[in-house]
Amino acid sequence: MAITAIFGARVKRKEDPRLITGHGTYVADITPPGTVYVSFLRSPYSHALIKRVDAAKASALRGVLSVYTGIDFKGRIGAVPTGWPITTDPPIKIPEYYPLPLDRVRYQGEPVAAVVAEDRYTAKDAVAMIEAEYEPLNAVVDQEEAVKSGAPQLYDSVPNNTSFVWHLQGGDIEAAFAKADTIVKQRLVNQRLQPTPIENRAVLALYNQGTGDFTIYATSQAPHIHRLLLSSMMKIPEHKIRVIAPDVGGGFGSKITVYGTDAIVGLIAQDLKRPVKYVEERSENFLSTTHGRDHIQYVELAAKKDGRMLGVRVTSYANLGAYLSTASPGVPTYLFGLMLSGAYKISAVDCKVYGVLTNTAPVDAYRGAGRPEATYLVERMTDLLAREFGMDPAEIRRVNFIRKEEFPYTVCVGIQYDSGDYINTLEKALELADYKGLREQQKRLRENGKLIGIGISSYVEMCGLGPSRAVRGTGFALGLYESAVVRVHPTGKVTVLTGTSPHGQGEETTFAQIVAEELGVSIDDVEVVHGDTGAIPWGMGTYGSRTTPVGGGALALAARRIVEKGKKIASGVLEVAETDLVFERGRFHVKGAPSKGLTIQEVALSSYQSDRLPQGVEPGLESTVFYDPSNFTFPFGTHVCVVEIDRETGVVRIVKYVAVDDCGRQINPLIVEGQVHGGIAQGIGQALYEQSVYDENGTLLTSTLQDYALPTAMELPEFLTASTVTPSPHNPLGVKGVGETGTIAAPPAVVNAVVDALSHFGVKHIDMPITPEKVWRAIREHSR
Amino acid sequence: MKLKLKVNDYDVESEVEPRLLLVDYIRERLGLTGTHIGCDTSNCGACTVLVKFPSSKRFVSLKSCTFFAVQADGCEVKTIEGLSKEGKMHPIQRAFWENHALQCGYCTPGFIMQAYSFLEEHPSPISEEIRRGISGNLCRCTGYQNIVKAILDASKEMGVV
Amino acid sequence: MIPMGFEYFRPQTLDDALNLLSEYEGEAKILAGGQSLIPLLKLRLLSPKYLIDIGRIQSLSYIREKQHSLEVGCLVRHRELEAFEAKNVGLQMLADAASSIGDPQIRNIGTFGGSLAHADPSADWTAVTLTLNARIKLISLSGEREVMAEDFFTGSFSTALRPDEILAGVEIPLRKGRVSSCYQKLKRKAGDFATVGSAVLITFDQSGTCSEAGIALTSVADRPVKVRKAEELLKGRKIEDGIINEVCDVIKESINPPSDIRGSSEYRREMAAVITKRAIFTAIGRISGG
Repeated sequence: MAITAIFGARVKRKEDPRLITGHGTYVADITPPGTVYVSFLRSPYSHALIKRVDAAKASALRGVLSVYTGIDFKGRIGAVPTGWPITTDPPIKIPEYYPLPLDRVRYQGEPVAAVVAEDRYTAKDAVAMIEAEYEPLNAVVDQEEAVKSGAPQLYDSVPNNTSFVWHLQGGDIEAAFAKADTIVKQRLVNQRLQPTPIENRAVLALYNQGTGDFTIYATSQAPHIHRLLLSSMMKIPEHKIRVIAPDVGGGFGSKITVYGTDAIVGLIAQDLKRPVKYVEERSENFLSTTHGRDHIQYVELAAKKDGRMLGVRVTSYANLGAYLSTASPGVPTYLFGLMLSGAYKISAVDCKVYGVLTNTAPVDAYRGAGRPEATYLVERMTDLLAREFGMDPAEIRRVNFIRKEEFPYTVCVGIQYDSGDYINTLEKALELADYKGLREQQKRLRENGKLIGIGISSYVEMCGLGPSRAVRGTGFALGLYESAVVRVHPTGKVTVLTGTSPHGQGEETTFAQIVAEELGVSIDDVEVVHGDTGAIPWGMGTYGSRTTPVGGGALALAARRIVEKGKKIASGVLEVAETDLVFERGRFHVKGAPSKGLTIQEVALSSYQSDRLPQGVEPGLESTVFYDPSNFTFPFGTHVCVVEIDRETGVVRIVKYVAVDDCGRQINPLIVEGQVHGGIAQGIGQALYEQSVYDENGTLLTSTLQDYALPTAMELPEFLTASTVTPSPHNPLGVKGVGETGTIAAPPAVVNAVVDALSHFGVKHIDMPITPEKVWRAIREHSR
Repeated sequence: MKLKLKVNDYDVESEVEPRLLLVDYIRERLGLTGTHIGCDTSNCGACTVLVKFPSSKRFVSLKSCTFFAVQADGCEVKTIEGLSKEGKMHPIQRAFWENHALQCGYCTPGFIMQAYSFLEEHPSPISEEIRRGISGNLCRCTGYQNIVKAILDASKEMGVV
Repeated sequence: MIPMGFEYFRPQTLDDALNLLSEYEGEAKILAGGQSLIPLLKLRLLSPKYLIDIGRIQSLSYIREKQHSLEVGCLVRHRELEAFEAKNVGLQMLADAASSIGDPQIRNIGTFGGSLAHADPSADWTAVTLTLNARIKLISLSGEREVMAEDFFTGSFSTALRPDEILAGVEIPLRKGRVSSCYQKLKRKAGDFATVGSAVLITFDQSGTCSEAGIALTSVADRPVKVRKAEELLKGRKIEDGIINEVCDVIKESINPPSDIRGSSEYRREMAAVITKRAIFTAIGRISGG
């Protein structure tokens, strides 16, 4: 692989000029002539029978075009599909869930009726005029309560609200536990979170009466998947729908899901033959756009007294919410269970997961999707074990790490980590944080009654989703390859079509960097197009840190095919053998005779003139690659967090945060840092501030941004970041992806730090979010 | 109700409902969609614009989702679209670009307008002051670090006469 | 989040405003900065038929430091009080409280009077006025009246304000001699409502003994709470650890805070004492120099 200045350079982003001048185009910004607006009536109850919905007054309001309820779509709209019916025995129970319910609501905020009006304000007024009567039913919001007999049942087809029981085993767990000197046990809560992209969801549907085609603008992380699932729900053939994701304001997993509301809006457009727009309000986003995490885990870790971990046993209760969403079954199972040995040589894993339905919002992927839950478990248990043995937490990690020479390393559950050097990132992080100095400082401060804590989190994560064979084996509906088209125009400019769908990750720049590197063109001459099913052959979207390794991998291969073809064309035009030609810095030339050559731009023109092409070479200079990776990628690293605790109030302040991450080769270090910052911020949010709270009736108490505690700039520290580079051996570019690493590494780093600060009181564990009150209670309980 | 104001140096006259929020007026009536809506409860700051009241000499930042268009009668309003002059970016915008202070870009106009207001009052801030100055704006992508750096850089560039 | 429709008036003078208020009594709400009111309108928790915008009435915007009192007009923005450098050190808590309200944008537009009239149980100004023994000036067509702050807040979002009255301003009596104050707010994050807030004012006599104390809390009940028993305890005493512990105990006994997502009753009770203690020490520290 040639390495020029552009790959690996801190290039300013190409997407920024429009965004910083207010000329981005988000779905809510698009208003074709004649647009009408949808507003939804949503259930105030978390579990109820719908007795009556009377829209007479609402329909009569001036400016209201129509009011729809569930009955209006009966037979016309399909169930909301799940794209990941995981393979379990007995088979997973997927309840039939329809976009507008006919007779029963199962979570607070579930849409019950849709008003269409000439403007948003009128639509909102009309919603308030709908008379709806409900018969409340008992609700259940906690997953451990929901599986008990006697609990309110959400669906007759899902007894004990248990959609599935999933079991993963690797190695010999009985032997591991039999050999152990110690078994550490802990109940861990990975609390429910609200992804909270700053842009709420929106959808704009246009219907062409003449052709029967739909054009749907959606805040989607995966337009082609959106189209496929919409086709199923709307019962409209796939090829008659075009989905466009324009600028999208963040997603973090919640915009992978295809929601019933989008299908409703599409069908309304067909009825009214006018553009129909729905823009979610924040409270609607919090009530009905997918939540994340929500696992309750019972963990046992078996180890020898020299610190070596032998086996881990987990029983996890995953709250899936009121219905199965696009990826929800796979997140708390495969994406979680497969990573339970972490960065360590743990030879046995036994993991059982109960997928439980409750009267709450659906739960699906949220940045990290299963891997933060796994890493939190592994890193907390490692610290608990270290404490049990009186070992330094850094030392116990060194003892257990998979060694650099041992890669590729197949873990006991069968996946193969591609490459890693865990000791390297640990040592680097400890050095940057001045770990020795910190421990000394901690000792001194403790003598004066001051509380500081140091937390380490060494993670490895599985991303770059993913090798289709493996993925399909888990029950995922499709493969997770990616497509790229590289199209060189007659003037030598390049258009890239990528099946990924970035929404902040910067691929308009980094993909241009890849092409600039491979083809020797200027990045200004490369335009990266994404998010439009009308332009892009097929794509699986952006999530699971796959855009760079899989999307970028496809792109690199496509660009290399361009060079291959270019060589053929150049050989025809220059009348030399292909083997006599080299390609460097954008030019094909004869080996040893650099003056005899053609630029890639000249070759491009030739390809369209096509009068001197060699036999068998078609005109044009374009290539399409579908790249199916042979494996996942495994970025890794160590984060070190230092906290100061106010003894009296319990307030935790992060005074230092060091992150050393390895995502393989970096296309643009500026963007890598940004992804790490953002991930850490969300991880700290989980550790200290955020939680979705439902009361026992299923009322969401954190339904506004006043109540859901998203960190501001004042809550977050400055992050000291560094990186190492351990390329992925199987990826065409050696890249691994980095978008989720921060969210994965940070929560245990922070929690380990807090517990470390309080350990001399005897505090062993505090569940997230570690609010000041929880700290205060822990100190009190242990000071008695 | 009649509404007369100046938006980005243009005089505008409109007939509006009293309950029309300023952010909706800007976005839907004037087509200036650079100002965004991110929440319902005045927390996220994505809708931040600058307003100069008739009695005042200075622009102040406010959350246009928590202000009626009619309250802006007789005022001057500046939105993100009005920040660049003749296609030339404002130093704050340039600093955001240089420092990778945005990812999805949705919160960005709100941050830039707030930064503008903040720097007028604090021309030579330190990081802590900046963090406080932007505490009414939420970003979910960047972790704020590069935003703080961008504002710091902008303050230095703007301070150079 | 869209309000219901209403008719809107923007009177130029206070008299015009009062006339409108009288005409539409019971169906009208006063709009000052709107930073508390507009969110309620958007949530449709309130749907007045008429909105009377007093925001441009210049005569209601003033800060006048007089010999014996500080007069603050209702339209003074939080930001102005944040920046206010009082000659009297006892008024330091005004800047403390102002700087803790909401966020910069909200402080630019939200008003002192609006916040008081709104009477959110977790508001910051309410406790401050109690500690300062402020007098709230209410005006209607029938004339002016004054209500002591401690009689003004009658419950959750409830005050002594009559439907035909406007809260025109507040008069804060200035203490003589060595006075210091502090407002401390415990909150989950920037911009959040108080988990608990404590407003403390201490007046010292020549010998360094506390001659008068003001202690009021917010977010511990449905209205701000003046902890008279604690105030009495400090009177005539030299402030040191022993007395402060007693004050803390009294505070804990005097309140029965609610439990919500910001904190349990138990935690709030303890924290009310902790931050009052800190406010007292900060107040003392401020005056020690002089």
